[in-house]
Amino acid sequence: MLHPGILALVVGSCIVFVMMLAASWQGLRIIAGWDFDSSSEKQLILERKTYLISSIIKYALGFEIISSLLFIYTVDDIHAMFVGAMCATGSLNANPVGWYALYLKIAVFFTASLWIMLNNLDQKAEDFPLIRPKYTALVFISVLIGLDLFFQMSYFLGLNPEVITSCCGSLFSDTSSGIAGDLSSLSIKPMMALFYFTSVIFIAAALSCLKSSAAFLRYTVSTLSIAFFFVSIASIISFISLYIYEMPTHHCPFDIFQGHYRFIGYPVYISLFCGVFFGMLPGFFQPLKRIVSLRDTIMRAEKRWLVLSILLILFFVIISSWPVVFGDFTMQGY
Amino acid sequence: MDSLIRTENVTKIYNPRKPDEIKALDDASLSIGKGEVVVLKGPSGSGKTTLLSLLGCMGRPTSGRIMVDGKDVAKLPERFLTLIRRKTFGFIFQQFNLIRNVSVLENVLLPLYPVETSFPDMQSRAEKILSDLNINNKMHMKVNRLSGGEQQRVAIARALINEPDIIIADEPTAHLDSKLSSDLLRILETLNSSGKTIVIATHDPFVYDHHFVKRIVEMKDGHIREIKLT
Amino acid sequence: MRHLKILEYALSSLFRRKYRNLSIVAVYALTIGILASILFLTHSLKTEATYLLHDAPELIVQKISAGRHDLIPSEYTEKISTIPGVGSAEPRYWGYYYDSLTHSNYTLIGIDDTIPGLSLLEGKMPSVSGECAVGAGVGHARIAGTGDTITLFNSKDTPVVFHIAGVFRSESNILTNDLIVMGEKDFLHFFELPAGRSTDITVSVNNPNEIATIAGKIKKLYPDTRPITKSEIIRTYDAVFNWRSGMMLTIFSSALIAFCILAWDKATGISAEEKHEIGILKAIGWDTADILELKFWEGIVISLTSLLVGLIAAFIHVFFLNAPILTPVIKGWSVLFPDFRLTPYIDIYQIFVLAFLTVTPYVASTIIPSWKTAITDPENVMRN
Repeated sequence: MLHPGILALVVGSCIVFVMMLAASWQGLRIIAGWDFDSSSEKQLILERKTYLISSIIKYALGFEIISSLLFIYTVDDIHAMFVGAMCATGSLNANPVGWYALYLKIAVFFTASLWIMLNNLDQKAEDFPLIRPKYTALVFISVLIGLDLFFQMSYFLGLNPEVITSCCGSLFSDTSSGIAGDLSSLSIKPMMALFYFTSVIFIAAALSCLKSSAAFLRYTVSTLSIAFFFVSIASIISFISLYIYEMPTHHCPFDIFQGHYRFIGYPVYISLFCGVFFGMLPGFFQPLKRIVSLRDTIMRAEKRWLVLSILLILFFVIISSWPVVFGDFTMQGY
Repeated sequence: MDSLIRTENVTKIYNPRKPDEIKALDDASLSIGKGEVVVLKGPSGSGKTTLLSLLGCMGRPTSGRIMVDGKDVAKLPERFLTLIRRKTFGFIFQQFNLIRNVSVLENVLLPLYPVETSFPDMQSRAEKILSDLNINNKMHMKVNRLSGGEQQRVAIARALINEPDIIIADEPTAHLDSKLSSDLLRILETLNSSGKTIVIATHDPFVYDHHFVKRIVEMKDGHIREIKLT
Repeated sequence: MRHLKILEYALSSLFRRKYRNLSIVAVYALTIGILASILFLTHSLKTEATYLLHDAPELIVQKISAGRHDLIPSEYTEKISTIPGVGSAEPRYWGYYYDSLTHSNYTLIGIDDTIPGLSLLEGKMPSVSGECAVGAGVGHARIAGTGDTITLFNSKDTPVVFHIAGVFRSESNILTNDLIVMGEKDFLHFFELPAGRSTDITVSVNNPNEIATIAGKIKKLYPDTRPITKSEIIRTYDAVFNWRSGMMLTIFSSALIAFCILAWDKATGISAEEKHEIGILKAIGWDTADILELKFWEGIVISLTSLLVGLIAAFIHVFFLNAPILTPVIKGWSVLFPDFRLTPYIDIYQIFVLAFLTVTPYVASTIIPSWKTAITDPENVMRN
């Protein structure tokens, strides 16, 4: 528990959680006292407070992104303390609560980023149309961050070096049970087919959105984006990692962050997460086009989101496929 | 004449419902047309600075409407007020309000920093304005090393950098001698002849008796008392 | 473009108030320097320890008597070496010697052959009775080198003179620094150990997967022994170093908290001049978000500058000056070491952790003061 990386994570998480509580509290006060038509001093103060809350959320999101990376690195660094652990997966298996902490961090990334987008849109309208839903959603994000802190602490406090854990080799092995095992034992050819098929229809749908303003297309793109996220994670575990590690049994999704694999994990995951995020936005914000003051802003922003999403997903597919297509390693008979 | 800026029954109360409550403006209505030169005249405490700051989108009235170019700005969130202020107004303050220990060029360019403009464009615009005002030779000098008249010209250059339609000047001759005051008025006259609207708050007769002033609005105790056409 | 211009203004603004900002950077860098020194020192020691354990035997068997480490009978060695899977079992003769002259503890080893993993700087290993090889730290402490003599006092307080046949590798080696290697017979004679006893037994195992099994068999065979595996030692070192460094970090985090309070105070108490300047910016067209971005850049520049200065100071403190302030706590309270040079081992993860630990609280403590500054009313500029 006194490992420096763990200390940094816990201290940072506590600070961010406190900041989020403060932001949520201010948000609720804004909802309670908000009267856009009033020119009173009180209304002016509330409007100014919206800037404070935006600042806090931006810092919180920045922190959560960096802390996710720090979490993975720390979990990898402590693997030596557990018998049987050879990488981050082993450390996480030493206390399975760690997986929940990781999932929560992913959830916080998406929800906080969505909130920031929502906030940016709201600020571009002259009448703050989204004040109430925005600050209500903030409470939900604070709860997620609180849970993240709780699971992180439970994980680190519950770690027992006496426990013999299993590593990625056995977790992500073809013969183990559970989702990870199932993912690893998926036949590669069908998984590859699914991966490339999903990426093609996603990009096609996104391109159609650029040409047409149909609402159903936007909902389709968002749904496909989320589906693509899960398909990509499954693909990384199932076959992409094999080509990066050049080993038919090494399915670990975390080792690709390491230096000996040239930190390929960073561009892979950053492009995937950001590409999926921008792909989700058109469908999510489609209902908001009903608000007159937001319609034009959303339509202008939509084009940017779609283009960014297409470029990032293309980039992700290319760098993931590079070792598959051009690498020396081939899987025969798998 | 179509009004460029218009206030309708504007009231401004500072510190409402507190012991130090002040009603700086009371039911003030004023209309200013494109290309006009208007002087707000009155003793200190008459509400001229308040009216000027509201006209210049620096704050919000307690009640009433403010129309700028046909748009009601009284209830706009701060960010939109700032955008309008940046685009439409150039300010010349009583005490120049230049940033000390910063060069002339940087002071002039400051209003452009938050705007997405390329640096070469910004630079060439600034150099042109400074040369029109005969101060480009001191471009890289720190402003606190300039004389009063030179600082005045830098302040004017800064007010013009965003190519505003309206120049707002608050007691611009308060710290100037008669020669500098006369130079200032000459510059303002030139700006007006190129189409800019000028609004000046002052109690200096040297200003409001000048021939280029078209209208004088007299103010007392927050009320617009009389509007004289000269 | 806009971001770069605001950053440029932030730098100019920081420079215009250089004395105030330098004082913040100095305190901030000092705090970071202390925390970084802790991290560098523990990481370097940990890496050094892991490195030296590389050549350690897979198993060490100690005899336990009344809960304490006791000398182990040599016949255990023969029995252990017959266990299937055991490559070899050798008795080991070593002990501690407290040198009252230099107030240091030395480790004495008696060998009849060479020990793997040790390399001499100069000279040779002891080959005849009366000879020894010493670690660089011992030689330095006793101001003696190859060809000189070193006098040690046995348990009867009788001086025994040894000739130094060789000196071990550089001062940066924890393993050899405080070592004195002599012949096995000299060792037994010096400490007057009973015949047929050794300090412990080293066991090499052919298949690393079998280590735990063989440790279990040894324990079953001789219940009065404690087999210690290499991985257990590595984990213990890891845990101890982590614990010690974590403890020190916790203690010094109070320094960090104090710094953040200072940062808050400085940020809140902005001068009238600075407040006026912000008012002017707002009046000429900067909006609250632009001012917040300005303050953000100022914070980042201060943080990164302090981080860099603190890291450099820590590096010099630990690797050039040998961390005089921290060494006694980190290395151990009970064991006295002679001085030795640490090998610089830094990795990006450590720097990342440090940046996280220091920048996050600083940034958090300046958010509210920055916001309060940013909401300055531009109207105030008209009124002044």
